[in-house]
Amino acid sequence: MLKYILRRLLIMLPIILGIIFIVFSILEFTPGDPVSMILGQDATPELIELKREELGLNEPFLKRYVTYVLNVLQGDFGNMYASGNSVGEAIARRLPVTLELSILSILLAVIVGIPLGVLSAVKQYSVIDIFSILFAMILSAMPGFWLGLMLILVFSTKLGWFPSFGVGDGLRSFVLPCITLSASYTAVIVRMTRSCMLEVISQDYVRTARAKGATEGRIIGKHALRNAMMPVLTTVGMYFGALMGGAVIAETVFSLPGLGTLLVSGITAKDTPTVLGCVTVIATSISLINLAVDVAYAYIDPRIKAQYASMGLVKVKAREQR
Amino acid sequence: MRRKGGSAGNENQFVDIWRRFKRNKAAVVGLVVFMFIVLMALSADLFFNYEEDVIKQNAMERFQGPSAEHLLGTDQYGRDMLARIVYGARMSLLISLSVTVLGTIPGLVIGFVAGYFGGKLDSVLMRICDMFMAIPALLMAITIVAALGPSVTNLIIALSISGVPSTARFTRSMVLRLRGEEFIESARAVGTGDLRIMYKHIFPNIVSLTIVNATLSLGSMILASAGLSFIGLGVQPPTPEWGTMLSNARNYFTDHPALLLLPGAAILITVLSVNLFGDGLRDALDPKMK
Repeated sequence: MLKYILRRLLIMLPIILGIIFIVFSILEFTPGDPVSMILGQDATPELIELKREELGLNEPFLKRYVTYVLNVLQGDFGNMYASGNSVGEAIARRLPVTLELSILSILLAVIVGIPLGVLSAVKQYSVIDIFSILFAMILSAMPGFWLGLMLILVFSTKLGWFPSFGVGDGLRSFVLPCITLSASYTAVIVRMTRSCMLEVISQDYVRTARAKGATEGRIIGKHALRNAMMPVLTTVGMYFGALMGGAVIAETVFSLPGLGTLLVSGITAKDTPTVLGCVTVIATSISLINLAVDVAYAYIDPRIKAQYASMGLVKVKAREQR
Repeated sequence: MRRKGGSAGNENQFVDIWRRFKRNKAAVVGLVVFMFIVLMALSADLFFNYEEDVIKQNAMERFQGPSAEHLLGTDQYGRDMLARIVYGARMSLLISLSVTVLGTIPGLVIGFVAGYFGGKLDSVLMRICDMFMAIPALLMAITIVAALGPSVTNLIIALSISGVPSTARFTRSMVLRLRGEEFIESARAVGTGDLRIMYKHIFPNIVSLTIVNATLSLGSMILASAGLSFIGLGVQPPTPEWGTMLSNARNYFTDHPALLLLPGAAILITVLSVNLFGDGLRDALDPKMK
């Protein structure tokens, strides 16, 4: 198992280098010169040249890319153009907020989504089924930031229950942002759980369990749920990336000091090191989450664990085929 | 379901699909609502004057409630809300439809080439896709817009690019599955060229799924463009777009909730109708595939 994890971490490395390369090139080959942004309109050509030299912008593209990657591997994300502050420190300060936000949102989505999906499947075509289908449909058609603003309107402005911005209030500050961010995620989980459960419930081994006289709770909890959870888990992992994208918007709505707002401010200031650093860190954490999901598979499904023991890369291949 | 080249059974097939589609009431409602929104967006000029109703500020008429003159009231600059929402629909549909088409075509080509020829080319293309897909689509779009500068064109470019890798992967998997089928093999056996096989034998078999996929992504593109506009990276004011309108209403909505409710409801209804239609289309095209 450990060998498998190590192997996957090794495969991750070129992908992350590729991500940095892509973002590096996007920022490189587009109009807009960061130096004139820093120095303003009326900088003399000599001054601009001096600053370019100082920032190392006169080096060839590939050389700068390699230098950047080597620095990142040592934990150095460079300095912000405008303030000269370390990007790495800013990221380290803000990453916990984004992590807390996204982990709490996933938890919320799972806690609401899975039971609703299971109930909906077990009592197919009942009132609760119709309710949860409608619920999921509306959540997935709703823009997250709009939901956020509505929540602010009702729960901060009118009722004053939760703060509408910042993280000064501990966990309470995260309630509204988490609902906002988890909305579309919940919808996906409800739908996925429902359809997987419906499929599993109609399988022979569930009928066998019934025939043996197992209680309904045991059938659902022990036999059906465990098998239905596999695709749901995949979905949870797959949509984590989308969640991180949504976090940027949720953080903007609630002015949370997280990676998303750092990224947006970096973009507005055309601060390349900030943008690069944020995207790199976010993409890396997504890859790590996907790895964690793959490892979690093995714990849920003993069959896969057996596969790992024999040939380490089966699952990676299986995913590629899809 | 599967058409093995030729176009003999074409008409029948569409009748069949329509018959199955009609049975799904929710999907029909979705289609009707979506058609209504499209018609509304297309005929906007018949009811409103863009310069007069949508752009021109009118300090005397700020924050009005609904009236005969302004059916949905006015916004913070005294502009007619209904007119702005209708023109917002035009913007949203223009962006999301172009993104869906522009994102699908390159994805289709890449997926086709990778899936059909396989080998080294396939590996290289798919590794590149992996890298692109490791960056969330929305984040990718944000980065590209940031680099190009915020404007409608750049928003369309950014969202299109961010949609290419997933379409490529999806197409590739379909092509891979078909490539091994007997009818492709027999076509090759009688000496049909690669291009002809792709165009005549594989493409007709994946076109319906591609259309379904594109329809299903239309809704998320509407949401993404509204989201980007909301954080200031899309359509710039005073051009009306639902996300931009919501962003501009941020300072006023506590006292004037209508400014928040109306554009949001417009997005919700549009995306909901597109999604219902897309789901129905998917089920109608292939009842087995849920």
